[in-house]
Amino acid sequence: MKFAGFDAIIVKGIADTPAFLWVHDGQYELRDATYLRGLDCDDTHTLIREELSDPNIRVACIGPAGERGVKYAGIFSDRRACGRGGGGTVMGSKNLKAIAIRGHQRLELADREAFAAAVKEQIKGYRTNREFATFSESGTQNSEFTNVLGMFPTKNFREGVLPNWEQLERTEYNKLRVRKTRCYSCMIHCGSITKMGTGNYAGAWSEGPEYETIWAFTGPVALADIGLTIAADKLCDDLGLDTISTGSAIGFAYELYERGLITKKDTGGLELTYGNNEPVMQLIRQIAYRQGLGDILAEGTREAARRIGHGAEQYAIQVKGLELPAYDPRGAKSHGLNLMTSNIGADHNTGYAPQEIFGAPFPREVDRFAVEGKGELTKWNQDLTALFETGILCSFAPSMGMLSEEVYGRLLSAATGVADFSDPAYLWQVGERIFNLERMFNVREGFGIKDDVFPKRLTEEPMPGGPSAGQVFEAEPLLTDYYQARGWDVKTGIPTKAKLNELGLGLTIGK
Amino acid sequence: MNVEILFFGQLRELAAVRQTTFVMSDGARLVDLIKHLGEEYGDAFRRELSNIRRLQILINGQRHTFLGGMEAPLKDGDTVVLLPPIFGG
Repeated sequence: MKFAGFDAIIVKGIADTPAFLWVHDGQYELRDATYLRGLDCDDTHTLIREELSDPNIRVACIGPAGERGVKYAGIFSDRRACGRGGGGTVMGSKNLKAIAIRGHQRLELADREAFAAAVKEQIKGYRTNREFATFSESGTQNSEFTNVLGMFPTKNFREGVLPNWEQLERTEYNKLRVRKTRCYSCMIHCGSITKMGTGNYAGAWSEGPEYETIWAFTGPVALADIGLTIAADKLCDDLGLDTISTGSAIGFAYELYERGLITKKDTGGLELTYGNNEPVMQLIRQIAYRQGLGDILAEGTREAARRIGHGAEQYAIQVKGLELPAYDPRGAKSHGLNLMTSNIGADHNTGYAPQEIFGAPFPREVDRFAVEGKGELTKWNQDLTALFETGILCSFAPSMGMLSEEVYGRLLSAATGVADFSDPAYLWQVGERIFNLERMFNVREGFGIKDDVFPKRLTEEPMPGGPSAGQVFEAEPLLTDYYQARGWDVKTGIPTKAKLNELGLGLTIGK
Repeated sequence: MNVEILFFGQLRELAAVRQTTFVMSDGARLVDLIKHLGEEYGDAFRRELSNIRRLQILINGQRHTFLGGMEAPLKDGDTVVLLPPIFGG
């Protein structure tokens, strides 16, 4: 986009008929996308490139799920997904099938020499990092790190260890790798094309699946089937679905079926019994096309539960309407606190706690079960994520210690000419300001302490077994500690006037 | 007493086993187990064990650093996991 002369695109209004936005070298236009209606993401990419006669055009599009208003439809660019939170749903609501971009412009840098020097430091930081080789080799393709911690959500977050999880280990995915992939200009190459050679899903391939997707189609149905993780990943990419919410919605349906809240009449004859994953591919299609049971699951588990009633709400494992990802908060309290307070709902990428999950020693080692100090740590992780994401940067590098705030600040400063960025203290304030501004957006829309809530399963039911046995998520002390660390009112969860003024966000007060 | 060990990555390749059970003396500590592992699986295993940076050692799912470090006491039925750096997203 930057090569085409734009920093960001804001789309207002709704197109009368399906359209796609064509952006190129300082110009933009809406073009007819009627002929693309109903096509999957792969075909949409191909046909737009053919129409515009340029195979190097980059496309971000929605699939059938986004067109049909599935609440967790994503935006897909080649095989990469902006999966969480329903961005594709918003595009679909605007009749916007895709955004296609081609740019040939030269990037302007405030200080080219300083930028090049900072890039050298960045490369050195990556190459000398002790995690670089491992992450470069396998990315996130594994399931062992959460199973050995007893927090791999199984049977809709009832258990923390998946039977036979060793079949989803890194070494098993390594055997299926066709080639490595990477994002634009990245030296890590953490992605992989993976393909099944034999079995029920022989021939199935995908870019990935990454850890979350591996979980999404195994833990919720309580069966470790590596072939399904690959086939379901590709199907969700093609149809334009967030794999995390899709898998969670399917797991929710399995629990309702077991408890008799839905029956074969509702499932169209599908047997949603744990250990039987045959219905999964069919349910994915039903969700994307809003057919049968999929029509109600497409609303997300919170709304689906409300419509089903009879106590189904307690089995919707979500926060603010967004389904939890592949970490049971009972096994990692700061990680859970982030899921509880993230501004977009239960999103792990808003403030991942590598200290608890991987034993990362920065800013300090922590006991994953401990409650004390987790408010401050959660704030630290969230603000760090925000300050790095403001540069449109992958969050893996900083979370592994490959890229320091100091080097990142030099990159930003050299690129923009804003000297303040080279001061890490200023960057931290930027991160905190972003998080608080997002919070105030939510406050304006009526969100507050009532929305920082987990389902009772996580706060009242002790983990029944495994390495996190006996743990619950101690919501009350954790949340109060977090609000205090943030400088927010502990009774409302709203940032105080003093905090907002300190951050230069006085404009949000009273709005 | 019996202690179960789970290996991952290069350690598993050198041990040629995914998991195993060791019989340890009552009162054994983590350091005793590590020494025992080195003796059982040889120099290459011992070198790898000492070279892995950020190796996570979990005793029943809890990091050893919060259980007394290498002096952490072991008891019958414990599961010890030796997990090299690995990531999720």
